[in-house]
Amino acid sequence: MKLENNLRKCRFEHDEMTQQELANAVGVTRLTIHSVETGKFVPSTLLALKIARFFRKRVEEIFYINDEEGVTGGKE
Amino acid sequence: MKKSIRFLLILSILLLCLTAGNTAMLMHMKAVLQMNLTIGDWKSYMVAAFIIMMAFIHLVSVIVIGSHLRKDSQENILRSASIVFCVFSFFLLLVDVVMLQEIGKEALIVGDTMGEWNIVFFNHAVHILFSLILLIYCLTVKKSLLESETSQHALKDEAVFLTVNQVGVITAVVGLGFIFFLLSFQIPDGYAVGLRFLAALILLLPYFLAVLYWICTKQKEKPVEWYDEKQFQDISHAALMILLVSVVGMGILYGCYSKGLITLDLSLFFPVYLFLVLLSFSGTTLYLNKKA
Repeated sequence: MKLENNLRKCRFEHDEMTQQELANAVGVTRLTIHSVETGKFVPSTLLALKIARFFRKRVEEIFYINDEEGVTGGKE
Repeated sequence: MKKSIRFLLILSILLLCLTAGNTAMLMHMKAVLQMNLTIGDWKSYMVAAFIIMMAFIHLVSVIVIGSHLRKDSQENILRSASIVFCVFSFFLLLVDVVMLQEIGKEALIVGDTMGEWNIVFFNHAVHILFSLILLIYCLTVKKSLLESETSQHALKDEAVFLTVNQVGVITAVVGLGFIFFLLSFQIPDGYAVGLRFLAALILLLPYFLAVLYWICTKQKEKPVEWYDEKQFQDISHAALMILLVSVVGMGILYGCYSKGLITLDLSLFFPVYLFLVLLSFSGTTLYLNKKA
């Protein structure tokens, strides 16, 4: 079971914003955004909510669970 | 920032020239003393003036490098090395003064000053190493400056966090190297204990200063905001790693000691343990933080 995300896609849809810009907007470092995007770091609920609020989307539209049985959440 | 880099570049070249000039002057003075001749006062004043200027350059350099941490959000290993060697080299300048005073006293009674001269020349090698690191840092940072002009300023810094850990790794490596370097000399036991303790304190100073700077930058933040959540996870994992390594390491050491396989020199054990812990903690934190 793995948490995956559409963060990269969301950033590009949002005027091709950079990782640093998103990091500044949600109050974390660029490395954290990079780690979340690559799936190497699972964000806290607070950070996931902050990111979702920033993109004006629901959390499930950005983050979803990918397991062997299938995808749970909002994979686009 | 471009101006401060140019200023630092000039300082590093000046420091290199001063150190080289001082080394040449001291080699000449050593030769004169070995021939039992007297040294002109102006030469002694010149060496003193050079040392004062070198000390001043060290102080200005560390302030300028520190100011770069605020302006440049990109991490730079040469900047961390410059901080460590600047502090270390500055303290060795103080040792130079003490050693030269000792040489002066010994020269009056025609005593042996070979040991003192060796220390002075070793110190000057460290001063030259520092000026070279500073020079290379100034030359390489121009490129990263050009890149950072197009990148955004980071609100939540990672440069200070990474720099403190890089300083920790470099401090620990230099510390361990220096402690084992001291072992190659035949130093009487009474002096060796004090020397190792003093060396450990001086070598740990850059790390303490870096941590102090980091704390100063966090003054206005609440403790929960000191770390970014990934940074917090990384240091927590690093702390767990240290706990495991310490328990296993100490267990093995205790086993070997109680079976009489090794003898423990406590004056050596403590600084080595301190530097190993610092190396493992900073190294693991850096590795985990950069792994992503």
